[in-house]
Amino acid sequence: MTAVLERTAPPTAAQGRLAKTVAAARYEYLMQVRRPAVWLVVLALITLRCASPFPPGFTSTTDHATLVADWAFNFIMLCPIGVGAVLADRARREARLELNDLLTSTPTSIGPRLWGKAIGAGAATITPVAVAWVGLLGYLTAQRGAGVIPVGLAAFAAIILPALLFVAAYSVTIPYLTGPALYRLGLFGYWIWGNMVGPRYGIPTPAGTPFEPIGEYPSGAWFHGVMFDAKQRGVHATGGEAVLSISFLLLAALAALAITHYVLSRRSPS
Amino acid sequence: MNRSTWARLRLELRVIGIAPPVTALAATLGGAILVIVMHATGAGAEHVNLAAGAALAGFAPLGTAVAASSIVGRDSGAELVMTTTVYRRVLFLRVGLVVLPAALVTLLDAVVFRALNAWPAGQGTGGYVLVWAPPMLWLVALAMLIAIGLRSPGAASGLIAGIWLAQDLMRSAILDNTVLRTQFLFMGVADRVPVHEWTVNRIALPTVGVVAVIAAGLLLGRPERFLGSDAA
Repeated sequence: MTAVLERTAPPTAAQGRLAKTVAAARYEYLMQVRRPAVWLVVLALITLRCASPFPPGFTSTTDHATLVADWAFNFIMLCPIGVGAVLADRARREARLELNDLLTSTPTSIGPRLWGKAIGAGAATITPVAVAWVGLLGYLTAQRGAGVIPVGLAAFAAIILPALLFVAAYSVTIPYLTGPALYRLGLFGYWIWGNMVGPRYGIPTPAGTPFEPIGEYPSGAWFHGVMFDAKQRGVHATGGEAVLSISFLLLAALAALAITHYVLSRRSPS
Repeated sequence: MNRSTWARLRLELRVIGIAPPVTALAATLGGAILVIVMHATGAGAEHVNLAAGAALAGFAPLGTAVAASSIVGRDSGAELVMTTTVYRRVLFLRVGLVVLPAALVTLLDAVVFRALNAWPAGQGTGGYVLVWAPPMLWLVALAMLIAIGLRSPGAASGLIAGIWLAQDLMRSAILDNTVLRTQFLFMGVADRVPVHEWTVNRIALPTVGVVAVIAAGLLLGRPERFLGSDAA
């Protein structure tokens, strides 16, 4: 009893920002990965798209790189919508549960809590995608041999992961401003406009440029995967453009988190 | 309508908050602005007609469904409401307060588009309602059923938007299947659809919607599921 009364600050007070961020990320990960909705939505959307994979007939190709790139293209078409939708309610969760005052009174400032939320909840929401991808690689390995595994992991890292990190970063930041419902609608609109409304519609769009998040450039440049809107622009992707595409997504994700960190820090009383 | 009814509606609007109605109206008004800007800037008739069809049969129903599902599980006074009235009735009233204004604005969009001659190919006067109302009812009803069943507006929004987009991406596979064709959301703006298939589709969508509303109502027979837990 005396020991408890003599403790003037919680144990985390003595720890650095990194340790606090790791602790917040761990907790956010465990909260999010245990939500049935996360698994249901993400896996349902992957299954829905893969029930009728695009482009027709690609599964019979003998080139491992093309095979995994086109499967990655099918994974990434719909599932970021689900990732963003189930992440969007994380941003204002503490305010909705009226926990902000309590959290502000702890030694952990808004920075570690925000970055912990982005890393932990983001990683948890990407977990079902990674599990589904590992399952697919297991199936392809049984069919084609172990040569599929390294190229499959590379395709995940280059095509699927940057888009999911991009969507996750915006899904835990923009809803602070808009609320989750309006953000979800905006995300759906952006995903369609930015990836699927190609130049043929006559509307200015990033679809088919290195600034689209769907990963056409890494897919086409490094894995000989299908290119759809970029092909309509007459583009044959190069390695440099693929690096530009991935860098843009990662830097845009970092910028969203850094700006939100700055704004929330200015507004926070602590 | 007497004063107590007005007071009740105002109260429910306050409970819902500004975000759901704004989200529903943003979709239908955003589509209208796109069509009007394209028309005013002299875009090709084919592109303007396509945008009008997308706004009516696509954006407005999806936005309304996302907005309607977002009101589930956001009621901090749910326990109090449940002790005084039937929660099902309250929730359906709130959904109506989000859907009805969006439906009226979408109808207005259709009238304006027709006046501008920005109109989905092959649609007659019935298109004022039949292009957008069946998919709107289908999407709103299924979004509510998923949101209530899973206690998660996020899951409902993600799944409904995924189904909506998959219907567009996998259009030919859906139209080739006899059963799935009856549930195709964009039949009202599809090219060269036989009249009897169009009719079956426009009847089948609201039918499934009504079944989903009944199922959601049955789930709301146990409203205590919404108490004491965060979103699933």
